Amino acid sequence: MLIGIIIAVFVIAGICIVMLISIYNSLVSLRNRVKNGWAQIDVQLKRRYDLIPNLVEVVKGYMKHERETLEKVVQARQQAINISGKGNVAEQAKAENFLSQTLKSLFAVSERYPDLKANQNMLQLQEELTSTENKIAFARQYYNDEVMRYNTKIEIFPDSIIASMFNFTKEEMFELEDSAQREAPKVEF
Amino acid sequence: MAFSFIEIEEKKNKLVFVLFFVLMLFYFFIAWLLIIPFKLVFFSKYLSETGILPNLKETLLVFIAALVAGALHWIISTNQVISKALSSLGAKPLDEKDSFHLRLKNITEEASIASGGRKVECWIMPSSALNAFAMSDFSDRAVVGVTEGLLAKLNRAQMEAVVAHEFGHILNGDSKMTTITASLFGVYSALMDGIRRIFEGNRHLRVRNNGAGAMVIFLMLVYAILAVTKFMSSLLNLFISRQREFRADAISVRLTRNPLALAEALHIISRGWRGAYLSSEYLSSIFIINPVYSYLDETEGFLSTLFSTHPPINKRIGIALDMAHLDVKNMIEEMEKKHKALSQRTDSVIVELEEQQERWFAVGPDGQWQGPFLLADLTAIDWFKGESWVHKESESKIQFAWQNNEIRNALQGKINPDKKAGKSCPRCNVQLSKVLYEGTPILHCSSCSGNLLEREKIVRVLTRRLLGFSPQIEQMARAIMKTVKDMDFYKKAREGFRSVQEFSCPECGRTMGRQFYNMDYIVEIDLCLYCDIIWFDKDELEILQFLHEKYNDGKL
Ligand SMILES: [Zn+2]
Ligand SMILES: [Zn+2]
Repeated sequence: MLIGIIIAVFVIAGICIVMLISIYNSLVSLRNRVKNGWAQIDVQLKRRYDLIPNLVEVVKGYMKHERETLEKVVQARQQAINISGKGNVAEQAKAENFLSQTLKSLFAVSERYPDLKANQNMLQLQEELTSTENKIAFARQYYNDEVMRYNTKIEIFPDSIIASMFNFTKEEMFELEDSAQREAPKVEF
Repeated sequence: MAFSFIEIEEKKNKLVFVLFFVLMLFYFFIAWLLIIPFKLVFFSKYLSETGILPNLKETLLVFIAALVAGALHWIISTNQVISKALSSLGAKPLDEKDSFHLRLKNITEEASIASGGRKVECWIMPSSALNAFAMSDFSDRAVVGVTEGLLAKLNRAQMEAVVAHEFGHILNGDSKMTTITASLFGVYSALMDGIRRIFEGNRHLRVRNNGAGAMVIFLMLVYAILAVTKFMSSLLNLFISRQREFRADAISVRLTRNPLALAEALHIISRGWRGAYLSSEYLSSIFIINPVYSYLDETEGFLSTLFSTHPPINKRIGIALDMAHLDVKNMIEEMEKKHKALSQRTDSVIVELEEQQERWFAVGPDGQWQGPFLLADLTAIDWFKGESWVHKESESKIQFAWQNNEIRNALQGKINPDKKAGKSCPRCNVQLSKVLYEGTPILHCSSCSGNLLEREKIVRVLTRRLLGFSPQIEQMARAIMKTVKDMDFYKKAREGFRSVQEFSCPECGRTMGRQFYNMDYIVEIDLCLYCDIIWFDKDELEILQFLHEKYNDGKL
């Protein structure tokens, strides 16, 4: 009888441990996916920082009367770089969105300069920036989906217990300011 | 919608099992049937004893034979499926110096990021047709392909929708199914072709002797059975659900969130030449739209569900448009408006490409990466040796300096890295300069305005419409058309291949042949058959473009 109880306790404890381990593992892999998603965004943001000086260099010669637009882009870039790496996702999202806005207005202004539009370097940069912008949007889409899954999972029992035991905390989404943009995440310059 | 594509379980083992079983069944069926002609021809004497249908012992034999044949067939056709199919389609890797190809490369990378990092190769079919395909195999190699025609015709968003559609097939695993099935059962078409060729080559055999006569009858029977088998293998379309196209469309919208672009792309594709004869029939299921127009595809019902590989295109457009809350009339009007706004073409400006020299990073004596350096500067550094670690600026692959041919040659003083070996104009011997023409790099003579390009680039130039035409070009082209109408065929043929004045090929120095581009477009070209490159004198390339464009629009 006693032996039976002991065996039962062991079996139940064993099952609990196995469950605990599997939940813990799935949480870890989800968190890794979120991290991987973030890394994807980060790569593309860095790529954009790198492209902007080239863009400014090309545009400068043509757009003599648009100093202000250019300076805004340069400032927005610097601001975004300063915030990046501090781990504040919401703040960075804001800075990056602002940078996207300034870039968009720069390309809008460039429409007025036919010579610039025919410049091979400009066309190439435009394609690269458009692609980077799309990649940021897609990476953000993927990241946000993963964050949502992760955040939901750590709130639901029994995962929530293990999450609080091992310090799995909620992750922040990389949000957009206006909902109109969420509908169509892609930008075309 | 929390949905991750990594999570989609690809039921690889189940698929292998089902396909192998079907294959075995085929071989059993064929071998069993083959016994009949075999008996008729070679064992007709004993027919009364054994009966014409195979008995149990023979059936067992047939079973073993089917097992062996099935296994062999499986191993041979699932090995390197994608490479074989790509070469049979004549697909080419992307040319990164071409701006349209570069855009496609970017779009593929974007789709890859949207799908959570699925790596997919991108290939180009040098054809003016409008079509795209996806393939993947058991080793998880995945390929997306697009024709030059489609690449030229779609804008960025539309191209993105098409590429995302192809990713859809790869992500949900159905492209694996279509690719493997196509490679397994495409072999029957090939066998039938082979037998037909034997017949045509050896017609005299039939009359010569009786032994050969029996052989011919045997082959004919085999052929008949293969024909039946081929028909049976079209039953495999049962496995290839028409629904897969709808599912891929749905994934495309989920990835790009742009249903309108997908609808527009499908609309454009449905109204162009889809590329019949471009691929063997058995490969048709890997394409976004059936390369051969089929009435069955455009209808719904029992037969279509059974035998058609593609659902009605209008239904697909309708579904995508529903998601965008638009109707077809709306879409077409909007497309026309957009088209008018965008169809201002640039004048024919020649954009000279700066020759971008590759730059290198190298590990210095302190163990740190230094650079980037141009090749000439790199080899001049005193600490730089053959044993130094280097990598190109554009690549992350690290290697020893001596492993790279260019650096090795430069180190050994074989070539002067400053001097670029240029090619010179066959007409005026001036050095040709690299320019971007309709987005593709070609060689141009600044003195006589002639152009030199590889034959494979012609389809790119002809399908793209970035450049406009001057009135002079139009005039000359119209004059040519008039001449063509007035000339009779024999005159055309005689004039077409004369060799009046000969240039020597800037590439290899051999004599180039002068001929007309073809009998419809009487534009003189100089062709080096050895290097497959073509020289166009001033204006000739533009005239050819004009003729091709007007011909395709039906306005010639
Ligand atoms: Zn010349
Ligand atoms: Zn040659």
